[in-house]
Amino acid sequence: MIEFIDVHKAFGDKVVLAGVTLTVEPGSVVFIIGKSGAGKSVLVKHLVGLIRPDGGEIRFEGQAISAFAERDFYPLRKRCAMVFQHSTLFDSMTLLDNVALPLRKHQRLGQAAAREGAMARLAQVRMDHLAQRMPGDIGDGLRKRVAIARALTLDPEYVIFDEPTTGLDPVSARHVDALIRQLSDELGVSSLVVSHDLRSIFGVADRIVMLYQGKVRLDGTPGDFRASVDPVIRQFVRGLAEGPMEL
Amino acid sequence: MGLVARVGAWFLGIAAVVGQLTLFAGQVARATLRPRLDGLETWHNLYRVGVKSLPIVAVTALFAGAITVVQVGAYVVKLRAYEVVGWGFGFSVFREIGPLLIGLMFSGRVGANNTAELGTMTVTEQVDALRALAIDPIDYLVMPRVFAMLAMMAALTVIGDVAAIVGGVATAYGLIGVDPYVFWNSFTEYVALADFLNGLAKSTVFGLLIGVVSCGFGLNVRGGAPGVGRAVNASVVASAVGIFVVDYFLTWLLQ
Ligand SMILES: Nc1ncnc2c1ncn2[C@@H]1O[C@H](COP(=O)(O)OP(=O)(O)O)[C@@H](O)[C@H]1O
Ligand SMILES: [Mg+2]
Repeated sequence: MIEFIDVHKAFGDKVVLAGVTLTVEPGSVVFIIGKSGAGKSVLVKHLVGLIRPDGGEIRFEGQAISAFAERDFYPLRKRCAMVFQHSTLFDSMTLLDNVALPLRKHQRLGQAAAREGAMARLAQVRMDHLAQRMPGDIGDGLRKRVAIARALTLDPEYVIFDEPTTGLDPVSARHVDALIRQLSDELGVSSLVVSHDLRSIFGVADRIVMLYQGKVRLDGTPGDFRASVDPVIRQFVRGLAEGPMEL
Repeated sequence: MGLVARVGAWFLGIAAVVGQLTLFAGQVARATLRPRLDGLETWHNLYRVGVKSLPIVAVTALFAGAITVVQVGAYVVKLRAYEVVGWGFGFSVFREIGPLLIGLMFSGRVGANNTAELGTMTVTEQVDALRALAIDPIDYLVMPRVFAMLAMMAALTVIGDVAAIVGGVATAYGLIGVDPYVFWNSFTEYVALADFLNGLAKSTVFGLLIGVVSCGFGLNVRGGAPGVGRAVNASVVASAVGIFVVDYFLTWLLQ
């Protein structure tokens, strides 16, 4: 289980998180939604120690991680993988070697064995035919699929997906949705998914948390969101230009 | 801003950079206690550093040797002391000019490139992505690079010394008509192994310095592409200053 308890974070005098509390139950798929710049990426990066909170507590399976040193996060990061919003593939190596790297470093595999394992992972996201390409030579959507494959190589129990379907064509996007759902249903993987993609949100989420002005505006099921009369929620859920949400 | 405030701000800026680099050097030092040099990355970096720097180092050394002979040449001709050309050349090039010039060229070529690469990786979150994969950037990125730069500076100094001799011999022969045999004899008679090792030790320390400084500036980049540009600039300047300061102390120490 993952718990964020009253988490605060500011950069300089710009307050991004002003007391965020949320829980990810084991095996569930929780979506974080909110407009661009709402602090969704900042929030999820706290979980793997890439950003440290100014206040509040984050618990990973009951263990408080706010006071962790950088070294303490390494075991956690093997169990909790992250797909970055901008894919962040290593652009000096092929797609195959990107995916092979965690295998080589953590499973003490030789380069050949690691590449073999990586190829299987690439096939999972239907990218094996481009294995020898460099990240710079392919489009955003394809890069994202490789980033997903790379994050899943160590069979994590928790996965953070930061906008996994942004930039993907609708078919690939639904494929990623199905993958997230499948990880949860078949392997009991918990996912924390940042998304703007309404079809993903309402197709996959067990629970949805909406961030607004540094706080949780609503935390509920997709049904709760559809039924909400809160004008901010309604505007977001229906994708309307007009409404109370300031740009 | 008043002058005092500006000088104060400048001084604080320097202190912050020095502090940051010192912390970083401490991290690198700690990482050497649990050596887990990534084999693939190390080979990759040795190769890249070598290929990048070999041509410019060879050319620099060739001309450094030649220029030294030109400088010494005027006196040699005036005093008819042809048998000291090799000595004057060898002593200054091997001990001082060689390591210094090679170090500065190396920093401008390899160090700058390294800061740019690590800086770009930092601002594009590739370094964070490594951390998120539970791979320590110090172990995986920094250690192989520092090792490669240290090893390559040593190797390049040996090659540079040879190139300098070629440049020196050719110039002595062409410019002041010193026979290569005479040159070689005075060189081997007066220039001891100690001079060569002295220069080699200096170069190796310069390699270590350039490695730590260029990686430190690269990983501490903030603020996108302009930040990378600033870091590359600062890295080259800091390496050059560091080389001269370290050179001063080493020259004094290794006498
Ligand atoms: N490392 C950082 N330093 C300063 N400001 C940051 C940093 N990371 C994010 N921010 C700011 O925090 C706010 C939230 O960013 P982010 O979490 O990326 O938004 P989003 O909800 O679109 O993912 C933005 O205004 C961004 O500029
Ligand atoms: Mg984001």
